[in-house]
Amino acid sequence: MARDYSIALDISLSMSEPFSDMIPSKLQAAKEAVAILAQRVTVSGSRIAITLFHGRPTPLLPLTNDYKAVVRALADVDIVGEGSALGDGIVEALKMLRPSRGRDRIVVVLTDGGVTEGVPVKAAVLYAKYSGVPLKLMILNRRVEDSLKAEVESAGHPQAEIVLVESKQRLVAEMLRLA
Amino acid sequence: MALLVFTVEKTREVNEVVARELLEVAARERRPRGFKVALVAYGVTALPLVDPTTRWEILPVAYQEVPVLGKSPNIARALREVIELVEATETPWEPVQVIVVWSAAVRPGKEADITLKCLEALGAKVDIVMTRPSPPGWIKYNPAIAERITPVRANTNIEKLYERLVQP
Repeated sequence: MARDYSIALDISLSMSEPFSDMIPSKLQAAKEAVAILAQRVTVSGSRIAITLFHGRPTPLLPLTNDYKAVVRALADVDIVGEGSALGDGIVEALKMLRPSRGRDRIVVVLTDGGVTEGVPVKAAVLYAKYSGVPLKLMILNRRVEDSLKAEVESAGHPQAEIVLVESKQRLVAEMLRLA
Repeated sequence: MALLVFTVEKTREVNEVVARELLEVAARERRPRGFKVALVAYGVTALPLVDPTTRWEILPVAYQEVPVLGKSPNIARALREVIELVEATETPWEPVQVIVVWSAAVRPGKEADITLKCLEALGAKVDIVMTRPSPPGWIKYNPAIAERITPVRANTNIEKLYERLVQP
């Protein structure tokens, strides 16, 4: 069944670091995982949108089923600066799904989990809850901050899930599970 | 399709009782008939909380659940969020009514007046419910906002106020 995926990709400074087998960086591994997902799902009519976030969110690619457009968009994505407004990233990713009401939708966030500014994560998860959109937070790190876990849980969104991803292999597997 | 957007402040400054009561009345009355409803919450920052829906009953619950969004209300940012929401659909909303709940705790810049006029240029009718009994002295520097204010006094009946706001 065709589905609309809205990806929020963390491009804050800490994503430039290597982690486990994510070499040369977490960002590079995340970009490759998004491309793999796009390759798998766009053939069946599913669409992908991409939002970038660090201190503020930036919409990168509106919903498309053009795999080449996804790859082209990802090619230029790089670290922008410090600050991580995860809540704003989630909100922007949800806004990217506004034209797709009535379709099966999901927001997937790829981040190493730091939150330094912007809209509270709880508020962003509430927006996902009231929009009826499942939310999957993939944390590329050794552990999930307790405060982040608490904020997500307190929103009471039955379809919000945090997944700790400690290797690139796991990351790709998790992305393919969404397909 | 007609749309009513509640743009409600969630800070330590706003009178939350007034905000909640207004949303409860709306959820109960479900008026104006035939309208979809949306909710934008704001403080230092702003975000959509409920996109256009016919589920009026979730308005007070959503407002109750959202955490405090800082101390100073940024009404310009909130109105920008409303513009984005109104423009998000290919088929234009017609008519659009916006009810803003505002503490007037800090003086907004000129940007607030400009954003309000921009929203009205899109065809929206904007009313501002101010959760204090009288406007602050500096309101004269924001004439567009000042003209649309309805102050809430201790004896204000929120149900009647809502009726006045949504009457055609």
